[in-house]
Amino acid sequence: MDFFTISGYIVRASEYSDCLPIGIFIFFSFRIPQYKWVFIYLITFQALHFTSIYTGIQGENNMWVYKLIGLVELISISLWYLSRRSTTTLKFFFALVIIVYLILSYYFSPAGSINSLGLSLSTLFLISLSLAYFFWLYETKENVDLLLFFPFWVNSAFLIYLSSSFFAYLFSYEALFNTPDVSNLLRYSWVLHSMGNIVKCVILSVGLIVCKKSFAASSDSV
Amino acid sequence: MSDSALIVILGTAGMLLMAVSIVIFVFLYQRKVTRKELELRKTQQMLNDLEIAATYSFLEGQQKEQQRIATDLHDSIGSQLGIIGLQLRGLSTADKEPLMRIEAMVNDALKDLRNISHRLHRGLFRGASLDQAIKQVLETITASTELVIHYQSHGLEQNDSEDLGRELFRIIQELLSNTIKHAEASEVNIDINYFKDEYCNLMFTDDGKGFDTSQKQHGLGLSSIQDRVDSLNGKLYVSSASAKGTETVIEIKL
Repeated sequence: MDFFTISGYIVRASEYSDCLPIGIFIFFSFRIPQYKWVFIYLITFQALHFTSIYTGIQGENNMWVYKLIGLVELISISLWYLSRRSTTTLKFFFALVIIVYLILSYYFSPAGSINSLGLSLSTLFLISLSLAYFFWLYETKENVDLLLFFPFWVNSAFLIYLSSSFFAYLFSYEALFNTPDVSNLLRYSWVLHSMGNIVKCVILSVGLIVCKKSFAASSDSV
Repeated sequence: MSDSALIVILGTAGMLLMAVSIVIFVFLYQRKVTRKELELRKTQQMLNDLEIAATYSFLEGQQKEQQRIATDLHDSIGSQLGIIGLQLRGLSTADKEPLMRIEAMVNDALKDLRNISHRLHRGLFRGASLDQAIKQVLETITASTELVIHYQSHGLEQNDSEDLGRELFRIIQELLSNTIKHAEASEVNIDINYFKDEYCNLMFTDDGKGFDTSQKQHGLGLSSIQDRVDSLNGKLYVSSASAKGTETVIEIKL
């Protein structure tokens, strides 16, 4: 089996992988209000993935879907972090990053591209939020069993997914402008992003199953 | 290096770096939680020790107060009643009967007073009050720790020796302290049998982690118990094995 076939499978698996945590989420815990942003993120992300597949099959330019996915990712993940820990500084940076993302998306993203600069910037912001959340958790919480604490799983899943996506987004920009072998580089970038997405979905699903009991008596507000 | 290889290397390295960061975070967090738990346990232990020490102090204070009241009763009111009795005997009236009745009442009051005074002066460690003092300490320990204590005594109310009672009390106190601090036991059994003019024995067992009795270094606790048993011309037997608890038997010939 050559690389193109394997990468095809990975990308295809990634496009449907969000269905797994969505299914478990619905089955176990969709009623839990403190995790609503994770659920909204997953369901919107999956819906947009389906849209991209559909428009791709129709032969249309579907890069606008990826721009939208980036925006949804930025808003829903940021709002999840803000629902955990909200400060004026975080809100300010959140608003700033959205504005910059929209400007980059509208003015500096060539037609047919995925707004790689905007996505890289927003991903870097989300990675910072994720690391800051770990730091905050370490500093303020003393009696939490991490393995039974769902926000820990969510944060870990996001951190791994975002760190893989960051380089994929960053190199997509490079690929469009400076590299002769554009299609090969884009494929590598996208495989990396897809692998990160699959890992994210697996971690979220495991977290949901492991934390099932804690949802029953869920009153945490961390 | 081609751009494609670079992206794979950087991307994978980024993912691995974050995965390692998560593992390090979990490790550091667990270490912090363990440290906090240890601190909490130490504080709890200190509080328990303080509470038990407060009970001992209270019992000793109670004994001193009883002895002071006994001395006051005997020296003050007792001697005054004695003087009243003497003066009544010296009175000369035609009708002696009422005087004799008053004198008898004064003598009865004096007798009662002496009995009360003696009972109070007997102290904390004689007779039934030793049993009560032990029970009081056990109640405090049960309330402040998770230890389950089964206590039985037989014939302790016949004990007249303040020294024996005090030493027995201190030995139990020391054994309990050792169990709480070192044994990690969940259950303790204490049996005391007292046969007047024959012997007294104490059996103390716990279901803790035990220790190697062949080791000479047992700390101050056990050597202090040995000293107390020696002062009563008694014998001390300690048997213990790892994870099989400890059994301490003390036999004192009366």
